[in-house]
Amino acid sequence: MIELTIDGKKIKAKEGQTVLEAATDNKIYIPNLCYHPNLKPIAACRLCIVEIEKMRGFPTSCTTKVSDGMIVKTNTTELQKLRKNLIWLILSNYPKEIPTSSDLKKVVDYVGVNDILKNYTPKETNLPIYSDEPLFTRDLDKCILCGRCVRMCQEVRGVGAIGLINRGIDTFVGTTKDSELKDSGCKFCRACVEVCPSGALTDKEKEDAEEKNREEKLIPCKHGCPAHTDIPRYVRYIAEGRHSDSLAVIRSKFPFPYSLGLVCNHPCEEECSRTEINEAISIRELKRFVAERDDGSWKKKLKISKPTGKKVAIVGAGPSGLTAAWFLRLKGHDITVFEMLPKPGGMLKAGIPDYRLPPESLESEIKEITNIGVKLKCNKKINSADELFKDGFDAVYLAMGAPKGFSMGIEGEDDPRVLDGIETLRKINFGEDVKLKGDLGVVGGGNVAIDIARCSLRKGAKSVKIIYRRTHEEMPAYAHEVEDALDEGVELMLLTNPTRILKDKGKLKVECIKMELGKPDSSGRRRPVPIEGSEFILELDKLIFGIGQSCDAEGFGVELNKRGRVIVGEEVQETSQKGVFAGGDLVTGPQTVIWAVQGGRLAAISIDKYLGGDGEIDQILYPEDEADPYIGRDEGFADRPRAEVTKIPLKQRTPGFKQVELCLCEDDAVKEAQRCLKCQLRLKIKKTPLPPEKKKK
Amino acid sequence: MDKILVCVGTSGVSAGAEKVADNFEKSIKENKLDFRLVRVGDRGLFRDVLVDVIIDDKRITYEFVKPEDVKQIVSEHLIQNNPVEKLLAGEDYTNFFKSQERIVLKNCGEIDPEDIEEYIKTDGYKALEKAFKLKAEKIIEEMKNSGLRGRGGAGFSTGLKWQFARDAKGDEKYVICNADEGDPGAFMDRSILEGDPHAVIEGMTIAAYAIGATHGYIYCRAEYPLALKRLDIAMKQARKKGFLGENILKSGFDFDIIIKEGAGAFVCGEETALMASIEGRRGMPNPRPPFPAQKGLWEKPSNINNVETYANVRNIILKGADWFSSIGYKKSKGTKVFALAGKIKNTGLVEVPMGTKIRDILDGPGGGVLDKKIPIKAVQLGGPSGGCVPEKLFDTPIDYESITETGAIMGSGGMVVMDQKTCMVDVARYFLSFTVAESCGKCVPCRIGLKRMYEILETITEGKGTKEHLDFLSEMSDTIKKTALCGLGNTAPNPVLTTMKYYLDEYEAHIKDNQCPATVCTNLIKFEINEDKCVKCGQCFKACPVNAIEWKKKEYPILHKDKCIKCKSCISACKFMAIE
Repeated sequence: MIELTIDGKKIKAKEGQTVLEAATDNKIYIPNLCYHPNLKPIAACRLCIVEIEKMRGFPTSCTTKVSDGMIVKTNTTELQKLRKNLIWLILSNYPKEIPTSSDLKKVVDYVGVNDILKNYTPKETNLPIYSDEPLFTRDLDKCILCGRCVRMCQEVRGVGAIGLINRGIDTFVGTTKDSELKDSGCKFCRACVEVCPSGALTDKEKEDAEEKNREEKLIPCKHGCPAHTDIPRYVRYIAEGRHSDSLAVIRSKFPFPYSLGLVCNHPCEEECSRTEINEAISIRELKRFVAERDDGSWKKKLKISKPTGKKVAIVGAGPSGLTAAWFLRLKGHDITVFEMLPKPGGMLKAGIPDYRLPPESLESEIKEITNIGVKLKCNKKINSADELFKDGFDAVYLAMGAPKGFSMGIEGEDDPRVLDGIETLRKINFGEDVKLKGDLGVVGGGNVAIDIARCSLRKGAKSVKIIYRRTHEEMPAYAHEVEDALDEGVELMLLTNPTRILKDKGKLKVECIKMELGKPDSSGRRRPVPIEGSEFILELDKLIFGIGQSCDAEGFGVELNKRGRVIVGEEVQETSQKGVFAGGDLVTGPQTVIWAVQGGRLAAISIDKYLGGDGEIDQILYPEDEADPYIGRDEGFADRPRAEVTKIPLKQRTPGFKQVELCLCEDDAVKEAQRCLKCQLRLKIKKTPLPPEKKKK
Repeated sequence: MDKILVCVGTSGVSAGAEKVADNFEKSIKENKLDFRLVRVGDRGLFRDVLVDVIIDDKRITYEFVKPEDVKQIVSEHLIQNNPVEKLLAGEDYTNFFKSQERIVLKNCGEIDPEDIEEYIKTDGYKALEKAFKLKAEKIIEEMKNSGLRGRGGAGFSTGLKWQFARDAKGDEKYVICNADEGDPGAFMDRSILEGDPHAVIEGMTIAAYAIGATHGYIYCRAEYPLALKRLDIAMKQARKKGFLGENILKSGFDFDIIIKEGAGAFVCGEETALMASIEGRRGMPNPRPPFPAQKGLWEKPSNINNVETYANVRNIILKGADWFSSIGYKKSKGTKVFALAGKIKNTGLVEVPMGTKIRDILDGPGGGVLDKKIPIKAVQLGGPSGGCVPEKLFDTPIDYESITETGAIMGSGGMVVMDQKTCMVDVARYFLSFTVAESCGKCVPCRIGLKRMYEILETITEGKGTKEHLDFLSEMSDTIKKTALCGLGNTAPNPVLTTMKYYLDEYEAHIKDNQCPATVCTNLIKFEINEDKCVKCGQCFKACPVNAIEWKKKEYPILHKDKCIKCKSCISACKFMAIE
């Protein structure tokens, strides 16, 4: 320990610390602009000059090491004057308004300006603004050449995409030969933006930026995922070849890594920053990749808490119910899951065809859940919560989903050749005998419609037409699924809607009407309007409705909304009835799997707390280590394309239910993971000492 | 054997010295004469091609020799021993050398720099031999006692520097020679490297032995191709002879040197920037401490001296500290080489003992003012970071402390003589234009401050200056001096500060009277004939390229402003400063 005096205050400092560091540690602010705690000091801005007894001149505190008995003054009249002159100089070369939120503005306000040359106005420099490049803007007029960006890029990241060009007053920060950033080796980690004090480097914000906090903005994939899976971490582990560690990260958030690796609608990828450069990281495929090579090592750190003696009943063994079961069991509760169907899985089982999610894969994931002691009772329909309380359960989680298919309400739809989509899908997935031969029509543009259409082909249908009232563009189904369906031979009848079923023998005669798109409706999509007199007859063997599902929670005595969905609290998943919780599709209406999983997670938190627990459900199954901030150069990084998923040939797809999409090979997976921009690294960059906030009078 | 010396340094070569030497060689062969032709370095005096004919130790020097003159010198002097009268070096040549004391430059222009044997004959590498017999501590002691101070400009004790480098712990240490001579007009380092490269190599090797370094670098600007070539030859010969490389002189000591070519940035003469440049980084200075002796090249302890400093080492070791310290003045020992330029009769390299008065240099080797009608006004010392010393201070002895007291600096030894036709505001503006262009751009005060000062000086020379501008210049000079990161910035305001200190009246004339007393700043010249000064000589009339001046013998000229293009040819031609 070293003792020194700064501004009359005796302080202690560590050997090897600089005066600036020692001052900062003791809440003494010394103005600075080029200093940054992550970087080697360069003493370029000169603002941190101090006076030190027995030292000549005005040493910079960022480079001067502390020594015993040192007497430092940071704010003498002379220093104030010199700093004000330096600020004047900086501003004399800053032809624009200083952004109010910038560090520079704060420092300028704190130090003040000496108006040493009255009426001096900075000359127009007309330096370029680079705003056409991905993710951030460079406005050279606002650059004060503190060099933080350049040093970050070189020293800390080891990339060296930007450097100081020219010298003296003509110096600017640029790329080699003024090339685009991507051609200069930029990996778009944006450490440069993070440390820019003057507003020269700024993030390009998305439209919804204002609603988000800093971390949400900086790590969009993680926050795009409803379960906030630590995507940057698990992608990094794959890039490092640590596939088991990667799976452990995913496993910390939910028990369905493989299922989600196959069927998740990956909202994370929509948010991926890499989209702005070329294409998003193939996050879902990476998840599938590690889940497929599960070696069980994640179980080593899995902790099941001591029994609490509390019993929880979960109604519905879908992704939501099973996720809640998994986490609640880990918290030490006694869990029983009741399922009305013969097999567990909910929509994962009943709603998703085998060629997308092989049944044995789902079964093995559910096996892990029962392995930790979750009791599963199939073929058991629960009709009220009260009977469960009577059976000694302390809490009930309703997770029955939205299994009831809508009908269209058109004339003649009670014809036995008109089928309910979700029901049909369930039958197919449970191996029941469903006859789907001949010419089929499927009404709807969502995933269920597509799944039925593709299943029908696999069951030997001659032709399948998807009848949809809007255009291809408005179809809510995943684009790649629609493409696959078309590849396999499904036809689209767009801007068409059935109006009635004719009572006629022979072929099923469906009267349809042509539609056109009118003004946008509440969903933002253009409303389809029937074209009068355009009716025509479509001859089919069967017509299947795939137009949406509803919930069925009547009889549980909990409050429902107009659409029959259960109402829960905003923060707690509890229903109007004490001890009864709800989540998943039952609350949200038909949603994606990951949202159902997240519903189960939220329910687990609420229920654990209700039962006296702390609600901390996440398990830390992976090693706690930090990413290496030194990412190094990697030629061609920005242009590297997204990994393509291989699909089995069309001939092998029908008939039968072979899995269509193949897993990435290890080489491709690692390369894909290495495409990640590592946005998370930015959060590890330290903060520079800023002027103390002025106390409001 | 009788000898012919031809000076083939950069200035000699550019005047045709190689051709002269070739002609001599050919002619000696054709005539089967018993003469040895020696190509020697420059002597630091501009006399085009200098040739010495030495017969029986009697030396006759010729100046301004042209290739076609060789025939005559051979037939008349070499064969008949009748010197060619019209080509003999004149009085100025003799005077130039008479009042110098050449220690560092002794071999320059005397020996063949490409032949190590010639160097050895001048006791070359004897100092190294002697050094190996001494303990390293003793060498450093000797260096300290000699009082030698860095000739690069800062004047830090060389012995102490070596001591620090020796005391610093490090598995590897470096010896670096700063040959990035950047001051405009200064060329003493180039002349030494071209004329006596072994002296530098010997000095560096002794330094390496004293501090315990095994590797050395010479950082030399690429614009010195001849120096680089001769260094390379010298190093090869030294290695062959066992003065460089492994197991030098069988002492068990290894040391070798790498030449690193600089790309010509002035700031790379600053030691920390120089080291960054050697490492392959952008040549920008770094804050000190740590000093190079602690953390230098590749973060290892390094000793860095300039060419002239190393060239002094051999004499100190050979002749002793007492001998060296007997030369010089007060705290500045030995000699110093100056590059004399400007409005003076003899321009070139002048080596005089420290403490010589400015006036004695100008009147001695300098031969006095170029044109007696236009008196000397000032000398500018120390290059772009130096300052202007006015005539009234010409009795100032040349030593580090006395020069600093005037506001100038010793620097690397630039000495530009300025006469009454020099505008001091314009001089300040000119030097600022240099430092603005050469600022590396790292620190705020140097990068922006100098530019702002330059703009203001430009405004004043354009006749738009105000009193406030003068205040600004003082204030900004003070700020830059106190806050700039390296020596370049710290000293860059010196030309402004010294001119404002000694010639404030000139600044005020520009501002208050809208006048440039030296008639340099075009915007402030009225282009009128001052009949009180005019002698009706008609030189202005002859000089005017656009016939704007009318003149008849014994009459005052008439200047027609409507025709005048303000080229200032008349002003240059007028020796009486009669055009205002």
